[in-house]
This record gives sequence, C-alpha cells and structure tokens, in this order.
Amino acid sequence: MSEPVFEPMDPEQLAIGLDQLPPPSSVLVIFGGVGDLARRKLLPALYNLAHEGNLPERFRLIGVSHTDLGEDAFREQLAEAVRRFSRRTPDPEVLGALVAGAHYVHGGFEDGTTYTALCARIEQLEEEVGQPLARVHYLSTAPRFFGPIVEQLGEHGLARTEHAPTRVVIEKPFGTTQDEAHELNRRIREVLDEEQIFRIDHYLGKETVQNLLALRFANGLFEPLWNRTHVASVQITSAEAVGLEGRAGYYDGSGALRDLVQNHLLQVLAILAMEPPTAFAADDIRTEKVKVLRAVEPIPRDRMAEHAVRGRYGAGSIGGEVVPAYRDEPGVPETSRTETFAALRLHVDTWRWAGVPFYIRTGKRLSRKLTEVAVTLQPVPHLAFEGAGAVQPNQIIFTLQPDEHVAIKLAAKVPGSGMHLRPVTMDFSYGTAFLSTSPEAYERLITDALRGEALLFTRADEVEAQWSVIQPILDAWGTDHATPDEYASGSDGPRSQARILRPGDAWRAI
Amino acid sequence: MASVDHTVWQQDDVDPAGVEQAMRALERERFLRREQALPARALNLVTVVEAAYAGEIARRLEATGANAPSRSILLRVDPGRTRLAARVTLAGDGTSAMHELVTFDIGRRHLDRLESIVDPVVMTDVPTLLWSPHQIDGALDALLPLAQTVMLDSSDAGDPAEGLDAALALQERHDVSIVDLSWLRTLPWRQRLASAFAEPHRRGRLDDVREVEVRHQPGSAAAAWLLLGWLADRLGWRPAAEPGVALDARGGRVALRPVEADAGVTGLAGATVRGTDGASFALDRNPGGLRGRDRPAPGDAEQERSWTIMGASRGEAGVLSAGLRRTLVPDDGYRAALAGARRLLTEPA
Repeated sequence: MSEPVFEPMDPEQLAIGLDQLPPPSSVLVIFGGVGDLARRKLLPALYNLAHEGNLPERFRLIGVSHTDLGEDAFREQLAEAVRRFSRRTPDPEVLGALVAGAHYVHGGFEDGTTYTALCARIEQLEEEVGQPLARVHYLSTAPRFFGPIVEQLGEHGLARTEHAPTRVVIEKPFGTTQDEAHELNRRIREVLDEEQIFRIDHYLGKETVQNLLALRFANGLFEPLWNRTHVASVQITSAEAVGLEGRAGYYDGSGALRDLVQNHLLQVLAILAMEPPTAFAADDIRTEKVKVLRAVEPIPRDRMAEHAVRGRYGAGSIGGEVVPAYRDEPGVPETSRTETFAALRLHVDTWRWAGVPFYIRTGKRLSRKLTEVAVTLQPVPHLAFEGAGAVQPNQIIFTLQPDEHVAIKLAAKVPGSGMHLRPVTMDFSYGTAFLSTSPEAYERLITDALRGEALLFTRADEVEAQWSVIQPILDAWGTDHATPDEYASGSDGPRSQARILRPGDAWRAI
Repeated sequence: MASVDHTVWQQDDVDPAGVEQAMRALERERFLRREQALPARALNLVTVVEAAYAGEIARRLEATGANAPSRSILLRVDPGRTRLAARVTLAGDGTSAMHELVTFDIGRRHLDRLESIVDPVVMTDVPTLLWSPHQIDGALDALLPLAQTVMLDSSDAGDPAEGLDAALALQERHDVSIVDLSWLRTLPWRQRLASAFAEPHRRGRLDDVREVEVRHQPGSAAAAWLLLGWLADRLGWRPAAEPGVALDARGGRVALRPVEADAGVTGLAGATVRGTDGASFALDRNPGGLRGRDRPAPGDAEQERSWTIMGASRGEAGVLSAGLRRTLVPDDGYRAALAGARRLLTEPA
C-alpha cells in the first residue's frame, strides 16, 4: 500500500471566517513625511490603525523629506501630529510603540544620495526584524516630484518586487492637464507595473461613497428606475463654506474644476452611472467606471457656454462673519483668473443614459457644506387630480456630507376635504443605524495599500478618461481671457449657472 | 460636536401597548422640535437582568457608546414586584447613531408572559439580539421566539465544559445564532495567529505543530478551549486517545495546554505554538499591544527575537461592542470552533 500524500497546510485556512487580517509585515515610506497632508491625515491615520490592531505584525515607518531633521525630531513631530489631529485621544503606550518604529531619511527627492540612504535604512530594518518587509512608498509631495521619485526608486532597486511586494501610492493631483497625466503615467509605467501603482482619490475611501455602490447594487428599489426612461436629470453638488484655508499657493494654480471635478465628482458620476459589475473586485468595478467616463461626451469649444460656468467668490458673509473676496485673500495674485466655482452639464452617451443631463457643481464659500446627489425622475404622464396643484417630479437625494441621508421627495395629499397635493420629503438618515463610527478615508486607503487591494484606487485609464472630460473645458477657459462670474460669499453661486440648465430644470438650493 | 439630547417618558402600572404608543409620541415630538430626519435602525437588544444588579449591566451597555444598538429593551426583574412600570429614553443628536432605551420593571409573575411584554416594543424587520447575563430561569426560553441571536458568555459557568455545553445545547435546541463573548475575546489572537502564519518565513510551520499552550485569565478557560477548538477545526486536528492531545492530519501528536496566567484582564493572556524542532512563536499581552516572540530551535544559529505588535486593549466595553456588531455581521467560525473545543475537552474516551 502506498503512503498517503499530505498537502502542505495552507496558512489561509486560519484566515477563513475572520473579517480581515492585518496586512503583511511592511515598511511604509512617506515622501513628504513632515508635510501638511502627512501631519493632518497620514500620521493620525497610522496611529488609529495601530490603536485598532490593524497595522502589520512588524511595521516600520520612514519619513523622507528635504527638511533637515534628526530622527528624534521626526518622532516628536509624529507624536505631536497624532496628539493634535487624531480622531481619538492617543493611548500613550500605543503611540510610544508607533514612534519607536519611526525613522527619518533627510534628503532631496531628486537627489540620488537620498535613495542610497533610504535603501540602506530599509535593509538595516529588515536585518533588525529578520525578514523581508513589503515596501509601500507613499508620495505625499508636490506633484512635480512624482515622476522623479518613481524614477529614482527604479534606479536604486527600490521598485523591484523579487525581494518583497513593492507598491507606490501617488497622491492627487495626478497631473494638472491631460498631457501631464498621460506623461506621468508613461514615466511611472516605465518603472512600475500597473498593479504596483495606487493612485489616491480619497473620496473613494469615504464610507459614504462606497455606500452608493451598496445602495445601487444591493437594493431592488433603485435599479429599475436607473435609466433614461425614468430619470429626467442628475445633479451632483459638492459645496464648501470654507475659503482657501491658507492654501492659496496650491489652489490658485488649480481651481475648482481640477481640485474637485476632475477627480472626486467624476468618480461619483462614474459610480452613479456605471453598469452593475460582475464582481466586487478592483478591475471589474474600475472597468465599468472607465466605460462611463469614456462615454461622457466632450463639450465642443463653440458650445462651452451652454455646458460650463465658472465663478469666483466675492466678499460676503458666512455664519454671520464678513469674509473677503477671493482676489483679496492673502497669497492670491492680482492677475488671478482662477475659478472657485464650476458648474457643468455633461451627457453620458450610452443606451442607459442617452439624453439625461448630469449636472455637476462645486464651489467654495457657498452657503453651507454639502455633498449630495439628486436624481430627478420623469414627471407622471397624466395627473387625474384636477385642481390639485402643481406636482413636482419625484426626487431621490443621496446626501454624502455632512451627514448620510437618503431622501425621497413625494407628492402627498394635504389632509382635509378636497384633493390638494403638496411635495413631502421622506428623509431617511441611514447614518444613524450603524454601530460604530466610520474610519477616516485615509485609514481605509492606507490599509488597502499595505494589503495590495486596489479597488479604491484609480487605474491609469480611469485617470486619463477623467482628464479627457475636463481638458476641453480647461483649454476653452484658458484662452478666452474672461473673468469668472462673481458671486457673493455665502450665496449658492453665480446666477449665470442657470444658463446651462435644460428648460424646465432647476438647481437645487444648497 | 453636536450635543446629544434626551427625551424621556415614564409611567408606573402600564401596559406594553401604552409604552409603544408613548414611543411614537416621543419620536413625533422630537421630529417636530428638531426637524431631524427619520432615524434608520439596525438592531434590537433585549436584556433581562436581576433588578439588584441592573446598574452594572446598564453601565456596561452605556460604555459601548456609539456602538449601542438602535433600540435597547432592558427588563429588570424584581421578584416581588406585581405591577409593570416602564421608562423610555430617546437619545441621539439626529445625525449620529440614534438610541432608544425602554426599561421595564417586572416581577417574577411576569416571566411567563415576557414575550407579550416585549413584542409590542421590538422593532420588526431588524435583527433582535437577546442577552440574559444573570441567566434568570425561564427568561431566555420565553423570549427566544422574538430573537435571531443570543449573546452569552461561555466563561460564566466557571467550568469550561459546562459553559460550552450550554452554548451547544442552545444552538441545537433553537434556530438561533450565538454571540459568545468568550469567543470574541479570542478575536485579536486569532487574527494575529492567522496573519503570523501567513508571513512567508513562517509558512509551512503549521505542518509540524507539536504543542499549543494557551495562557488565560483564571475563569476564562472557555476562551482558551475555543481558541484550541478553532485551531483544531481549521487545521484538521482530531482528539487523540490521550487527554489534552490532538492528532494532526498526518497522525502526529499535538499537545494542547490551557494554562492559567493572571494578566489582570478577562480572556486570554498569551499563546505559544511550538513545532517538532522546538522552535516556537508566541504572543503575550504587553503594554501598547501584544509581544510577539520567535524562538529558534535549540542549537539553531538564529537569534531569538521579540517585538511589540501595536494595538490598544478593547476592554470589556469593546468586547460587548463587538458582540453587538457581530449580530449584524455573522461569524461563520464559531459553530465549528465550539464543536471542536467540546470534542477536545471530552474525548478521548
């Protein structure tokens, strides 16, 4: 009788039934490790992951920056950033453990010696822990360094995957024009495989945005209505009450269209309009989103005014406080023509959405903070109630910020004799249902990057498809020498936004 | 931060339908006052406690904070009480999780009719979790028709076999899921063990495990056995003819050693997995998280290494919160781990 053959035990056996395992042992290298984003978001997110036991078994952090700091000073900055910006009061012992595993490499991002030092430090850490560490390089720097950093990583063997998994996370903005985005993709793809590249759009890390997928594809209620037969129009609004918050340098070079529409709001549009994916897997979902983005009709130059409006806030008041006009904000050049408000009418040229306008609107210093999606349904074809009053079409409104709601606007009978109809809103706060609070977007995104899960990151073709939508508008605005239409701070934006509406449509009040 | 406000109603000598009516009135009043959206709801929790110890349970529930269920129904049993009294508290700021607490003061005489008291105030269409921490006679059976999930702590029985038997019997008798707090206390240990053996340099070491020692707080032996039951189930171990020993898929002996160790925290204190060659991997409670330790085989040139695996203790409030969440996200590993633990405890034979 032959000996029985035993297969080696699959370690995945232990993972079955567990929600999620901590990521594999890793070193996270943050380029721009003492910058604003790192201090406000990334380092506090790392602390919260550590607090909840969601960092790898062996974890090391390396900050890289041209700021001349010693390791102790970096550790102190890390601790201070956590104490100041973490969503929870830090546990001193957990924070102490995180700080003890933090290291610093000082040097320029385009200077080869920085990478030689980084290489040596990673090797030293691997020696210390006695095993190879997965490497995640997080590019939290000015965008002009993205290409050079990736090339330097390649030249110094820091992008290789034979030794251990290696990934690169790239912050926004991914290019400031379509050509730049294409060129950046080309440069980084010469060094990295697409599977190694994790382009951040932090909106995708928000629970509320992920919930749009759940609401659309896990409920029978909405999907039968989700097409041109039943939907008259869609409005996506992202309004901010704040102004520049000291970021004039960045914002004046960017503007509302690049800052929010090119990335976040086009992602929301893609999620809203995409076909159901075959599986909840990164490439299935990203492929469906790319199809939508590629189907967005480019706006012809000679019809730009019918489809796009830009505005800039003037002086006004927010929350009872007088606030200055954009042009009077510190750091804004006198010659600036940057828009702080943008509104677009887009069309998704597919069988499902032909003829349905998708209105997108974003702006700063508007009346309040609000991110919502409003889907307006077609009016009823016949109203049997004579003299009942005007009946507004039904609307389904998904509020993403500041609170999570789904509201359905319905017509209802006013109690009493006679048949008088008035709109009522069934406002359903589903954020109140769930146990525990949502993690910050960056906590989810960092964990996914450490795990190598790409679902919430954008693919090269997705980014380029987004730029294809936006670039014609930027080109037109860049050459017409017009000044953005002014609106009062605290208002709902410039009056001119009405000109892009189809007859019968109206902007929702912010 | 938005302030949390409370709306309260209470009445002595009341019937449950009156309580339900009062709740609707309170909600309407809150809506008119604050013009807030309709709250979404996800979970009912029905808790039956001895009135004398109700404060301790209420404090434990309060400590779950934002993790509290949408509606809690707390039944305080005072044996001599003859009349039913009720108090309703609605809490929430309209944007964060909304909590409704219905407290009934009942007597022994009401226990036979508990279902008729609780049913009118349980929200339909969302899951109901039932918890009887003081194990009041008859309460669980009376309320089981209303619940889909029962929360218990298999360590409460003192003797681990007895605690695990009670959970098994409940599972077999009724069509309910079980949330066992002892099982949830093993969760970080299971996660860390699973990820540790998925690390490339430890792969293959699950094939030659020869000893597993699980250190536990006195009184938490059930948690240790559940961890061993989980390992046995996942790795295909079966009980040997010798007490405290399992056989792996190749027939190799694996010594199973639950050991008391006072770490000052309910649940587990540590675990060591040792291979044929004597090399071991261990996890122990440590300030700031767990201490991991790789000890090489005797005579091996490799050095022993130890390090901190970061993580704050969840405390008992965190365990209870995890229990509430578990009702919404069912755990498919418990049933097998429970059965595995029970077999290891009783067989051989």
